[in-house]
Amino acid sequence: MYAFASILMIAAAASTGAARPLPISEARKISETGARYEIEGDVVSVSRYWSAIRDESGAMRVRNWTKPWNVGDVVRTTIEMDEPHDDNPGYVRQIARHAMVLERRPPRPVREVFADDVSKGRISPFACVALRGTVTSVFPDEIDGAWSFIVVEGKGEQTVVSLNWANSSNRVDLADLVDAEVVVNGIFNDQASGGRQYMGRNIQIDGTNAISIVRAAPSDPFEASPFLNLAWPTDSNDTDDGHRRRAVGTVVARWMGRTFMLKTDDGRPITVKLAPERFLPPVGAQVETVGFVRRTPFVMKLSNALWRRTAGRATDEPPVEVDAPMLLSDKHGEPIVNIRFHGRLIRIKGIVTDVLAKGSTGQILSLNCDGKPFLAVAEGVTPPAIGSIVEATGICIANENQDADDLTRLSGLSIILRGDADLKTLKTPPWWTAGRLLVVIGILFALIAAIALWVWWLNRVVEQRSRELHREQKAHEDSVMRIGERTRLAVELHDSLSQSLAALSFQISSARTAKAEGLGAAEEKHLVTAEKMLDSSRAELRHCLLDLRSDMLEERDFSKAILKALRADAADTGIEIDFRVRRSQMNDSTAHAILMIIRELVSNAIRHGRAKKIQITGEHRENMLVFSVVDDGLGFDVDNYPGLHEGHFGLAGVRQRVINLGGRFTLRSAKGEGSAATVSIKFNDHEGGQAAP
Amino acid sequence: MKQTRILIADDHSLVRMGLVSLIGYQKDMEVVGEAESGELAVSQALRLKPDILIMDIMMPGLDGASATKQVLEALPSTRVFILTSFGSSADLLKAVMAGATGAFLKDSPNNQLLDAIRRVARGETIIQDVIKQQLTEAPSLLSLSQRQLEILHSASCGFSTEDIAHQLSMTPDGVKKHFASICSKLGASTRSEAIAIALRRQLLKI
Repeated sequence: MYAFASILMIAAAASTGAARPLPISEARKISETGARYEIEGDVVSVSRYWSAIRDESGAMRVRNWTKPWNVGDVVRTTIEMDEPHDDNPGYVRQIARHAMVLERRPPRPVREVFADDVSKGRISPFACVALRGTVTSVFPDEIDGAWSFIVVEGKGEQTVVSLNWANSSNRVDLADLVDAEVVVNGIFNDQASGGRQYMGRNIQIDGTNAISIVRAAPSDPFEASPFLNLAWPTDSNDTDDGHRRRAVGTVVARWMGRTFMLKTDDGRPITVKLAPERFLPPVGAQVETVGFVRRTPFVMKLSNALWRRTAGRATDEPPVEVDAPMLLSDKHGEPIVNIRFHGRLIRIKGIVTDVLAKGSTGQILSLNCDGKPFLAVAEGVTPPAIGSIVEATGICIANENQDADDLTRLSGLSIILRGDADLKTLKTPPWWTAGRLLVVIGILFALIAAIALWVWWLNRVVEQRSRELHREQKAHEDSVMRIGERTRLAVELHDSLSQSLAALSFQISSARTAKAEGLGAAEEKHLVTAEKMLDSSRAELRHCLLDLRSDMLEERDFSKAILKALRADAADTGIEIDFRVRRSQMNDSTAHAILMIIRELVSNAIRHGRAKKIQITGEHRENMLVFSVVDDGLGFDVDNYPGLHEGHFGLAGVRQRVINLGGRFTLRSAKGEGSAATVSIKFNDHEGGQAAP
Repeated sequence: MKQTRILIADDHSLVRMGLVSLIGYQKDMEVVGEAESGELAVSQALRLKPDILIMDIMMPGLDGASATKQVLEALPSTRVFILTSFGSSADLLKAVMAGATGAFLKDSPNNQLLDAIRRVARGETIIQDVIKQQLTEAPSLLSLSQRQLEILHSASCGFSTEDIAHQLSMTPDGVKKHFASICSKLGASTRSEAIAIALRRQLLKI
């Protein structure tokens, strides 16, 4: 029946959208993101961020998306589930939307409760209550600076008031509250929210306005607080009762702006952490201090402490010379700290490996003592250069494990330096620190690389220039060769063709003159001579042009050059060449002249002598180059062979060339016995074969 | 009419033959002798004492310029008529300086040549225009020292600075200095150009 009614109810809600509100105990089970439902109830309390709503089944906190209500009002609101917040399990996911005040009511009178009501949970969830009691201690939340905690004692029990400063414009000194009787108007929290769940049930307030002082604390907290029980070691928390305790001694060190070490007259170290806005006492001062006891297995601490100077002589103990193994040893890779030195004045040598912080509160030097790391906390000390070997004198303190869950282990020891005098530099570091050395090496490498690059570049430039020079040289040689060849050709033309043409011109002029004079025979003779000269010149020109195209002068083997020069002229003739002067010993014009002479002689032997065999020899005799052309042809009468006037210009050409070479030409022959032509020219081998002109 | 007595000196026999017959037909001229070298020209001239000595510049042995000088020293009344192919500016200049009063190219028209010979015979100085042009280029060439000519010559044969220095018993630096001087005298900017200029002006013979 009930189930059926539920189904009907849900169906009705789905169809009309005007659902009945869920009982809050049911609503609290819904955790699905985005779910929407309605609740109805009284507003129990209102804080900055959330309000608490209660019905018969329970209470629930909702986020103040909209907040039309006051405490006491009967309201109805739609709730939308926000995404869960992993970092904060106490995050209020229920967002109040579309709220509606059903009935305005004045707030109910706030119930007065005591610490035992809170700790035993005898208060409805999120109810506004007035907690009455005496403040025994105050301390800030070490995790979240927005919170402080006030411990209130009443009826033999203690409870915590969580104070959220976020809503207050001014922070007051909570230390003044200690020992005062107060009434705190706050909301009962069944469990602490956020990271403070270890606090258990508590009363939450926004700002100090919620605290009213019923009876002020005694004016002198020092007189009011009993002395600290310094029994050591202790296995009980008997002194950690939340009440203020008193200690007297000498300030031996101070650090981090808020902490000092008090050495009692019997030599026990107490780490004192000041209340906010308090200044540290100077080192060496004799002081009385009150604070709340915080004791760990190794270290006695007073927190939220106040101090004042007292009369008395400061104790002065000589430093203990220690080395690293005395302070620290390793066991399975974990440091084992010799707690005996906690609070003692020690002196140790080490190398400064780093300066970790440079701020108003001083420096933290990282020291390496015999391979073990130490921190030296220095206030008002000029930090030495990294790498310096120093002798540090200071108060040794045990560093507690950062992990608050495991206070049974210490993470190491630090040395608190009291001033410049406590740090003696024994040896300044050499200039070549690893870093600088690296930089220098880097620079060297860069330099080497740059030089290598430069050398490579120079090499390239040199190669390029060499190639250019080589090209230039080649071009120069080519141009010299070309010019030489051109000049040789010009000389050749001048020596033969140009002269021949001039002579031809003279002959024709002569012929014309002879004709004008009526000398028919003379005219005929001039014309015949001219014709033969013309033939000869044509042949010369032809040879000249062929020579231009021939590479005979480029031939390294002079015998081959001779063969090339002879061309087809000597095809059917047996030519024997025994020329013992190398081509390289002659310059181009000499070689050319010799080739022309040999060609003319061979040509004569074949054409006129009908020679079948021709021997060409050449040799170097003293300062002369002697060569000869010997044939087995018909031969002729040397004294009576046809000459210029008979139109045989070949031998004349040979003579001309020989004369030009400054040489001698002899011709021996007899009818039927072939002929032998010998040419000898001056020849200086070592001057590159330059024949004397 | 007195015929002009002419001695022909040319190493080229065909040219000589042609000249002899050409001049032989001129009624006012007479070929009194032929010479095929500079030495022969001098000795023939001394023997024959011609009115005009027609002389080629480039001849083996004693060249035309030197022969001119020798002949004119001995026979001041003889006119030397230089008949040359295109040519060697330096030698031409030397010949003119030695006192040659005629200079003509062989490839000029024959009537002009004969006319020039006649005018020289009358005492005029006839230097063909093309030759005059060549002569203007000559002085710079003459300023090259014998050593510089040697260096140029070796360079034209393709020898390097070191080789030239070795051949001429000089230091390479000395050779380079000479080259700088040669280039400035010839108005050349590079070695090759200097050689080209020297060859073109027939300062060098290959």
